[in-house]
Amino acid sequence: MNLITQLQTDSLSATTRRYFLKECMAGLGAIWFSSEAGKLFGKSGYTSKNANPLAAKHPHFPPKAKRIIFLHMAGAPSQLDLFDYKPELFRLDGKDCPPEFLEGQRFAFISGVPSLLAPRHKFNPAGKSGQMISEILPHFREIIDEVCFIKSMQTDQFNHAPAQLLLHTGNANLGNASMGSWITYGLGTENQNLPGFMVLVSGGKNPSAGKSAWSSGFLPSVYQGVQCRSEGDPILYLNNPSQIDRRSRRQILDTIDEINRRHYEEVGDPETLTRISQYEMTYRLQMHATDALDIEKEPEYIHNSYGTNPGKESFANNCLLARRLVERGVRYVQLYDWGWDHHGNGQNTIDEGLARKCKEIDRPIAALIQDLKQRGLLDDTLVVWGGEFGRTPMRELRGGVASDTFGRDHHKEAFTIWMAGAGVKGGYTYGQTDPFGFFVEENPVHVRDLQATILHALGLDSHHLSFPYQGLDQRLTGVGETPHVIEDLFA
Amino acid sequence: MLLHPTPLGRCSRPFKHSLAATPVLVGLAFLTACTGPKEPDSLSLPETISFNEHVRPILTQNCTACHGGVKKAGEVSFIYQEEALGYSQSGKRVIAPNHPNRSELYRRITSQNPDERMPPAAHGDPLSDLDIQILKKWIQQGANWEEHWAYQKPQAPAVPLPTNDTWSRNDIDRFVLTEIKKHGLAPNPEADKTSLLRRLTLDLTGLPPSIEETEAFISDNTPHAYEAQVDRLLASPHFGERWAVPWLDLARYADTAGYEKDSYRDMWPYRDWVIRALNADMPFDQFTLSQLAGDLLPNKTADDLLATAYHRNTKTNVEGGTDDEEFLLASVIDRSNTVWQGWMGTTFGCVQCHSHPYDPFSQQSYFEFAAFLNNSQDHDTRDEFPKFSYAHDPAKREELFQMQEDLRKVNLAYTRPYQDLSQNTDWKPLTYQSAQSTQDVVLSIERDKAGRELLQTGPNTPRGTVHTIEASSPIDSFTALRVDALMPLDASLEIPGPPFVLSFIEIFYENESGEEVSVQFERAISDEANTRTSPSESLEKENKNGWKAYPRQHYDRWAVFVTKEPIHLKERKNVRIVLHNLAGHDGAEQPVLRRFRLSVDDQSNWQALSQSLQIVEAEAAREKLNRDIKNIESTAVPIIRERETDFSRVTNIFIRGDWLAKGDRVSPAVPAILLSEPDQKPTDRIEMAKWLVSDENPLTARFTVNRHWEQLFGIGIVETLEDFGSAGLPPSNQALLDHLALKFQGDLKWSTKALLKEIVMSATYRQSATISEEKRNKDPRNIYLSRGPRQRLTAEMVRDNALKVSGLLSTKQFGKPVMPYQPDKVWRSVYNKEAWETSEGEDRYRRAVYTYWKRSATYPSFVTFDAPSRDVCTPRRIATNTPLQALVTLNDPVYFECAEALAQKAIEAHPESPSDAIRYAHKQALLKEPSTEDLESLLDLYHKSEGSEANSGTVSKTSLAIVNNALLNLDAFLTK
Amino acid sequence: MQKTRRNYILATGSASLIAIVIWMLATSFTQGSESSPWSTFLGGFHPLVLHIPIGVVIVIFARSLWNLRTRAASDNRFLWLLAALSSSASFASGYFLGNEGGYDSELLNRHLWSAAAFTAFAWISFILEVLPASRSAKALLLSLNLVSVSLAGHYGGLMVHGDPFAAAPWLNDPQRYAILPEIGEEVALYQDIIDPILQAKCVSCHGPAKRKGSLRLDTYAHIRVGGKNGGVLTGNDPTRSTLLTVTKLPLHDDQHMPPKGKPQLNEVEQAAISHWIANGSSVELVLPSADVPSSFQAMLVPGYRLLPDPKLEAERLAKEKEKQLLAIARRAELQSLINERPPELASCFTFADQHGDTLHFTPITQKGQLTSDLLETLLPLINECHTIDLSDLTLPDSLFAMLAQSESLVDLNLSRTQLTELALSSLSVSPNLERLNLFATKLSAQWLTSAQGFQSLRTLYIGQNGISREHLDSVRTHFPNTEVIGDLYLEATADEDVSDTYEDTEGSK
Repeated sequence: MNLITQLQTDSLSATTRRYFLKECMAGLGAIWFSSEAGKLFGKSGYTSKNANPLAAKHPHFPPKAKRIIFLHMAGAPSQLDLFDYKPELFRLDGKDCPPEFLEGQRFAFISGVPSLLAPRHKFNPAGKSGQMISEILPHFREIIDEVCFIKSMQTDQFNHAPAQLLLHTGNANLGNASMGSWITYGLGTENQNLPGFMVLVSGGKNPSAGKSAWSSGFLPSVYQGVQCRSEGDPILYLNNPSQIDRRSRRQILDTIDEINRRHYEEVGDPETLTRISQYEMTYRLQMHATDALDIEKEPEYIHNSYGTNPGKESFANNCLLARRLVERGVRYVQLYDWGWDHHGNGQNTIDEGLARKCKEIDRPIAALIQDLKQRGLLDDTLVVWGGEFGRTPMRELRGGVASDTFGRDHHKEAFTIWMAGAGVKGGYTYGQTDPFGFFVEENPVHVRDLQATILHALGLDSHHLSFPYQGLDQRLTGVGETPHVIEDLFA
Repeated sequence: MLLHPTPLGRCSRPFKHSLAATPVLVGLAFLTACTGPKEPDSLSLPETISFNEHVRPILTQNCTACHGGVKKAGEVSFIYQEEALGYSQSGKRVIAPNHPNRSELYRRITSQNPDERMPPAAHGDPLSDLDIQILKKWIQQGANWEEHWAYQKPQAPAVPLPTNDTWSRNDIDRFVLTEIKKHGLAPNPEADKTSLLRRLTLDLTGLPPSIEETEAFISDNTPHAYEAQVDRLLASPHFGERWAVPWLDLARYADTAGYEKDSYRDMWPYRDWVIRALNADMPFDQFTLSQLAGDLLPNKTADDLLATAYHRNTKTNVEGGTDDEEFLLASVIDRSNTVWQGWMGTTFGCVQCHSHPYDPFSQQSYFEFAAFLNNSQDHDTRDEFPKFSYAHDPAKREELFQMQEDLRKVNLAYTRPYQDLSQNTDWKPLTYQSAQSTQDVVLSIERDKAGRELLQTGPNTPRGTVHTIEASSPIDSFTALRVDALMPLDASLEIPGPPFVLSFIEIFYENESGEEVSVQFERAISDEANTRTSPSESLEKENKNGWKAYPRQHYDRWAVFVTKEPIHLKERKNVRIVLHNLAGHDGAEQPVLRRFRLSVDDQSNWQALSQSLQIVEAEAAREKLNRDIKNIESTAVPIIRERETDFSRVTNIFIRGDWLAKGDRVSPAVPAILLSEPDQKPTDRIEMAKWLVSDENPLTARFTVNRHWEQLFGIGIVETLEDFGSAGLPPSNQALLDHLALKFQGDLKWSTKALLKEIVMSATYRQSATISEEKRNKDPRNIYLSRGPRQRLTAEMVRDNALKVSGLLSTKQFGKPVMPYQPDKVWRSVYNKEAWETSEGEDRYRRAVYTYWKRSATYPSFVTFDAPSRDVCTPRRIATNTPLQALVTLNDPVYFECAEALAQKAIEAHPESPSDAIRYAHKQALLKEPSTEDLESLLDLYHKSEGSEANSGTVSKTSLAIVNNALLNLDAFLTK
Repeated sequence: MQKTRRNYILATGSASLIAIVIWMLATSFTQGSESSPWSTFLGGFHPLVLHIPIGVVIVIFARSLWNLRTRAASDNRFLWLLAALSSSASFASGYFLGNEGGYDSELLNRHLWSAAAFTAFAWISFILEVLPASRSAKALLLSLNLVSVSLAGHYGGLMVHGDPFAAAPWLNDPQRYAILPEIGEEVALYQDIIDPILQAKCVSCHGPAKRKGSLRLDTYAHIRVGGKNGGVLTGNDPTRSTLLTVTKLPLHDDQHMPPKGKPQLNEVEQAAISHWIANGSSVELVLPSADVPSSFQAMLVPGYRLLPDPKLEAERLAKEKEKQLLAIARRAELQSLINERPPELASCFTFADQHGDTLHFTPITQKGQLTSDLLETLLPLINECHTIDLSDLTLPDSLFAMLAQSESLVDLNLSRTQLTELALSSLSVSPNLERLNLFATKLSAQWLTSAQGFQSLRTLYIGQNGISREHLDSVRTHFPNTEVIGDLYLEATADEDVSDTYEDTEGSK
């Protein structure tokens, strides 16, 4: 039993023993005591001697979703060009930016007095709700009635790496546990033959925050995000060396098992028993992970629907993989697509650059939502889409020098994300920004509130999901005051 | 009996009376029951209540969350003595010594009224009766307060002498045996020689012993056989390589700068210094002084200056658009937290935003400590200035170091005369006629408070702005022009102003024949002697660099431009001055002169000075030194240098931890609680370092002993290495810890090797690691040390062990980081062209400590075995046991290559007999013969995998490699 | 007779003179007109002096009662003089105190006139005592005195100490406001709707008896005054007035009002308060019932319950408690049944949360080893499950017959299983089946359009069964109140070049 589980078990059983003894003395009767005591003294579930840290655990309260797919557009997509429709911007395109937006504000690149920039593509209504969205998302239109927008998101950071860390680990500096680690720490995972938290990257580069965005931080490394790769081993070191085929791998594992058991008889260290079960797990992991990550097995119409590109790294492949993993009970699938940092330099322009990136994700996302729905998975899978912050209504004026291309700078005051599945109200918009899309006007949602809402959807209370480290009960949503769960999103 | 109702009719008269008395008795019992908690059996209530042992855990667990350093509900706090024994907001006395009934604390914990009872229902259950009695008795006994154990200087504990103790070899054993006996256990017998030597060699050098060394030890029956091995291993060059790793975790050492780009920087000379210092058994106090204040030591050496690279392990954020001041302050805060975490195991980081929730540290004391470290020259810039060239050839190190020190002195000697001249020159300000700038930047003529004219730009100052000023000189000739760059109005020492770089300066005037001619300058001098780029570069037209204040301006700055020969102006004395600001960077505020003044002087001694002997000699010396330094092969390592006194920074409290909201200014100081004699308070970095390792400091020796203990036994005497505060776990054997701490500081004079020897020589360490049923239940995690340590190898040892056993290991030491095999596409940092090229030759099989350490993509097999990313100081690696670890040792090509190499060695020794070859391989790996059953299993595996090549007479390498793949994954192989 | 007539004239003259003087004083009084230091000083004596006349009058009354029994007449001249003088002194000091202002004008007015009357009657009684007067006149004046003094006392007390009766238990019984009183055509928003809400749900802790956070909501004046941390009404903005915002906080937030466990405000009541605040939160606001916004029209319906009927409430709680205990017992029993199975099979069963008895059967890790006869052994337990996932498994025949009877079955997933249409039909009687997943089960459209029953079915998944669009519509008509989800995928359009192109863009930072 490793250190941390033991530490938790001791503190858990110490407090819970006192709590339960008192509780049942207060007259809940022997029945309660026997079942809870059973759980307490290692008969089944959490505190059994060789507890598998990833065993499925009960959520704090009945959840709305069992699994989550997070689609993160690294670089921060421009909400004003896609979803947050602002007629004022069209009217004042090119005019100087009103001064009250500038003083007291700190920007990554803008200095001096920039001008307002209207979206470069037309908007038109979509779905029953008539929500105005950009024309460069043609397929997304078909699933808009499943989607709920939050247009009043806010964050504290306006640089990529710190902002991504704040969104995914609750803290702008490095060294903290990511959301996927927290959720697998809180709920374990349903399929013991696969990792509980898997990460898929596309767009050519890792997100700016690097691997820390899916690190287990101070939580035990068993909760680390496992990155899937499109070339070579789908999971690092999954495949056997060429000299060893599956049959001899089985024989090797049996031999190791025999010798280790004899060693255990001699020395009696429980860690040896845990190592025996972990080696057994690798055999099943190899079989199940290879199968799960092999998209060739999908029928033709699915490949066409997603627009996949087998054998190469692509967002479409990752969306199909996400559905296959979620279908097999993986708890948290995190996708990163890099290339959304449209400052206007080189390829990263708000007009063609944004349109090109939208084409890469439009079809796969629409196909993913429909595929989940037709399989009955959408009801208990939460899909979240978004970036680490927004982009400014003003045109980028890098170092005070006007450039001929169209770009927007980083903007932490207001941005848009959307959610689907898990009983989220379809065709609904939560929160509004001012006519220029600069400040949030109604129902602000801080990144911490979003994290608390996601945990809530999975049946976890962000206050109770904590881990003792450096003298504090660390939490995903920070140790300050409890954030505000937005219940309004759920039907 | 009384409570059993019996039919009245049949009983005798006296019985009836007693029955009549029943209701009365029942009533009485009922009354006593509900008046107050019943007295627990006095057995469990200790005689005298000690605050630290009994009371503080109750308070920390139930109260300090709301009544602590941060949240003081009702102005009640149990952190500081005066507050705990003082009055609450409601005016009631929280704790009245000797009078529990008059103490509000006691009334609240025993009150039946749910609204008043503490802890409130929402936060937890009422205190247990025992806890209540403890608090009551403590108050009755005068409520004497004790500071937390870790903040009291260790007192030498009496060494216990357990009865008929034949087991103990030294004092450690006596302390341990007392604890073992107290829990009704008995120590294990000594481990067998092979296992003991394997454990000892791995613990001290990180490598397994060879077969020869094992056999030599087994056959050596002299009484000091074991001690000889200990001394041999302590003297081994591999000692430093193994023990550097936990220190590099604390120092957060990496080969890259961190954050988004996370690009490479030369830090490896510092890693080599740590290894050499540990091998030379440098006393820990000197080890501390060199790293914390090496640059300030009176007669410092090259190594002392190199050691200060310890601080520069902080991350540098060069992501586009980041604010260098913000991330410099982040580094200063990280350095301060790391000193506390790496030397004293205290979570000082909490105190950045508010006073400590559990321990007595105020927010002010946090920033006073950060002030020690907030005056270094580095400023989160891409070129990692300041750097120090460290010679590769050890013989040349001191020489190169001395040259660089001399160069700094020469620069001083060169600039000091000009600075003196400039200071006492009566500069005549020019009168400006017109001023304008390019790129529609507004340049206006204004006056400062003293009424002196100056030039001020508007808010928008893009990169490449060129200022042109038409002015007239009050004097008809001039030999030098002075430019004063003034701090912008809204900037202050608290939040410094934007940067400026004067790329090129030109002055035009009308000569005798009426043409407009530009002035020829001889040299430029600024107010700072040792600068990143020399001010004279402002005279070179093509060079964008020049005189600058970068990346932030903290003070008004000045520079003087000396003309070749005096310039005579015609009667209207007009000059046109053009200032080019061509340098740029990817931040928001571009480096442009925003607020400046121009003045001239006509003294001839500017030119005279240039011919003076002192200047000429200084210039010559400078040329020679620069040349000599260049032709010694060296690596430039980021180090710490203090800013020159008249450019020093100030430190302020951050209101709620926000660097933009500055509270009042503070000067360097150490928290008072850790100072017994307030008079000798440390005031600078060198005194702080001395305090850290003086016997004033109750924490350093204990923390250092504890972390060495954890490396050997798997669990520290204080299990939470990172938190010695009241929220951490209490020591399992404080007497032992204090004894070792005082000995380490005293007799052993901070010698790490002597400390390790003291521990490994103990019988406690030498016990066998077998775990009996009873011990598994009574002491599952071996806290009472009733058996020898048994733990999985660290990430580095897993690799080194496999390489050594299979004969692939290269023992080459030191040098640039190497790149053993790693699957591709692991490195995908944004905007970073660096790629992982697997090293060739012996560099591919170097020890793990030399592996290239990239923060945002740590070597994957290390991460899987719990290695930290080293973004932050990590005192303890929490071991885990996961299937992904199994995948590494089963399938990683590095480990399969070891299996094949071991097979090759085994076949060379026993070409025909598979069973002999297997026994050979087993002995190489585990240093002992396989048991018959194990040999049988391995042989069975060998024959199964032979398949077609069966009985070809020779041992098949592929099959033996498969057997070795199993061998190198055995639990016994992966643990020590 | 001469003497008696003279006495009579003298009495009426002096009495009327006194009455006129007092009357003039009373009418000329205006609250808070001017307050010189002297008047504040003298006003300060009012509380001291005013109790004396009350005491004296009571003594006189007691003596007269006593005398009734003994038939003896008593000489009360001195007492009446004392009463008159002290009442005049208290009237004067009261007059000055009144000048300070800050009192409820209506109450002060009543107090003023009753005090004036009392002073006048005291003088008259004294005069009657001095001059020979009939016993009946004296008795009459005594009773007038008693009435006026008690009135003056009552109003004075009301002004300073508030209405003692307000704390009376029969008044404070919240149930009194359980049902909203009948509202006529005209709706006085505060009196008819807002005040009853506050009385029913807030005043028990924010009223005269208990002033939590020193905030009272029982009267309009007190609402305006607000509590310890400031006013509860900010401008006409419902989103910033804490009176309303604290009721909208999430339940676990400790600022949430009414506190957990107490009856909460529902949307309708919140809408009413929001409307009231938005329209100036004034007392005079009256609007015809037709103009009441739809958001709280429901409150106009006679018999609208503000508080649940205690009897019903107690029953509901009891039922809930009993249900909870049953659930705990059922969970414990199910848990012990599960524990009897080998661990890998036991882990197929999980509860929905940490306390309830909703059980799910979702084998994922064990899908490979779950043969149909192993499944058979688990049937009794599966029968107790709410959600059953049998996808990708080979199913025993007895399964459907059993599932048809199961009460707890709500969500059944049979995707990618081989099942016969006959077996499926037996499921049609399942009482609570709401969600049925038949994705990729090679079902024919005929069966779907002919299947009977499934009356509680809400969602049906029939994708990847090769069912054409037209058949899908016919299935939809066959299952009118069920959402039927068929194939959902995007057609591959020729022009889309779907390959992703990433040359290594030297993007910006």
